Amino acid sequence: MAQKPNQRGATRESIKATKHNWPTRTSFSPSKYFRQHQTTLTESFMRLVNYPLASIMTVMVIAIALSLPGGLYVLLKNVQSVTDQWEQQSVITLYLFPNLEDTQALALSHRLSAQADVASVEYISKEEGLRYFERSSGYEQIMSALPENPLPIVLRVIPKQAVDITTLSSLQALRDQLAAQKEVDYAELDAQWLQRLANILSFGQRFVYALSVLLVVAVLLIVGNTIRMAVESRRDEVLVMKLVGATDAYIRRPFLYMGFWFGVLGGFFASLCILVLSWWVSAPAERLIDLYQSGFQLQTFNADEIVLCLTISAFVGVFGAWIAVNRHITTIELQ
Amino acid sequence: MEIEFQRVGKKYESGQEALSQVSFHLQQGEMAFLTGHSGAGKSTLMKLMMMIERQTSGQILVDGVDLRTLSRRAIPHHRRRVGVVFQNHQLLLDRSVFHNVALPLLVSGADPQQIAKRVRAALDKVGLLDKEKYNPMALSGGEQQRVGIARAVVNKPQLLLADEPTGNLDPKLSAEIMNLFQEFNRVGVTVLVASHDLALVARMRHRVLTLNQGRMVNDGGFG
Repeated sequence: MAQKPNQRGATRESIKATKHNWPTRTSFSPSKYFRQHQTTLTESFMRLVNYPLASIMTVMVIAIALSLPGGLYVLLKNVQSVTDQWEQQSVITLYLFPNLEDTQALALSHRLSAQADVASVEYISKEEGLRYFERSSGYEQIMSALPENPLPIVLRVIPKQAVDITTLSSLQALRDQLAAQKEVDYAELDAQWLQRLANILSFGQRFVYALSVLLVVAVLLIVGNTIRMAVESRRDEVLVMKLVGATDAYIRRPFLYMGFWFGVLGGFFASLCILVLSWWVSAPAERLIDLYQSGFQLQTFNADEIVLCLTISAFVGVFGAWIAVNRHITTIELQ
Repeated sequence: MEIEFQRVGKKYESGQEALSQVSFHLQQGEMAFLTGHSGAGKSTLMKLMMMIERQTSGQILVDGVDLRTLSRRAIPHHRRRVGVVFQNHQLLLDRSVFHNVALPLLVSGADPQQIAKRVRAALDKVGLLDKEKYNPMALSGGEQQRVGIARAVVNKPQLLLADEPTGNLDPKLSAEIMNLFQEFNRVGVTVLVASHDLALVARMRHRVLTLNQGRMVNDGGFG
């Protein structure tokens, strides 16, 4: 301080002068800041290494908690890729009113085949329908016992679009349009199974999302609790740090990095789990799917998804640590 | 560092009055002792200076600045200018003597070369340069206390506070420790030592402040 030892009392001027010199914050220097962070990063990692068993257990709990939604996500991704490629020629079957004349039905058939989104229209007369029905059902005697043919004229409309999950809604629109024709009694799109699959998939998606949120919260709590215990076990250190003038940020930092490491390592092992698991099931899964569809290749966690998984888990780790440390550090006060 | 207490009182929430109407003025570069029975308020007074606790009445001016005007964020920066030595030396037992002494420097973000230089200088001053790699547990009581002193002065504080620094040391070691404080005072550090060892205090021939039940009953004399 600039004051001389023999100066007595604080004058108004000296108060003014010293007030401006009061170092309430040290000047910011990027290199110092970076160095401190780097040191803390390695030190907090070494601290985990020094307590291997406790660290491994925490990391593994996090990894398992994360690999569950991760694995389900991969499963869902594969189901989606299978169904996306699952094309089938689509057919809209039109049952015409029974009292309709053949000529009217034929006119409708010509009109429809001229439509842009229709590839072809197959005309099935009442007689053809009856023959087909007798052949496939084996009810020949019953049919021949009927006084007249009860079957309507049927038009099989083949749309230009094949049916799959992406085209389903436009095909449904086409079916509705055809059903609205005055000659048509009832129109059926042969894709109910696909509709059901789409519903199941969207249900599965929501299920995975909900599960992910729950398990991410679980990871938050695991990290929070581990960090809380770490702070508690280093109580003396925190006290001494405060005594020699450590800021709250400085005291908080090693714990945040600890949370970061827990997150990153947990995310890393979760990714590893998923990769190993998908490799393990890939051979039987591919054989199974090959029965229905050739050239199927099981999809697993790709690089983007691994990076995403690590980012999320690192963020969750730091956030969990932040909550725990902030709640705790202010309660540890010098006495 | 210059300290001025103006009718300072500290009343705990329990109603116990630890300090009342305490006034004194410690000049920059002065050395003084603070005596009194246990429970007279010596520790409370030191805690107020460290901003571990806050007074409930009166003013404390440090270099002319009222401590009440400092925010919570400013407290760490205030503490960096003050070195403290406690009876229970508060060393961290999971790291070396070197690291213990380096703590105030690490906390304020000094660069590593500076840290090594200043830690060794501080250890040299207290005569423990050859023990820097030891764990504090491996040292004797007197040596541990000296590590605490090295930690208190490594940051070149302007004020050195010691709360019963010779509490459980034998007379010869106590005298050595007191001489150390005197040496720091000689280079311009303001020093305040709380001690109930009246004989030792009397021998040192410095200003003596005496507390009795929270009141300043004697200021001056040689005890």
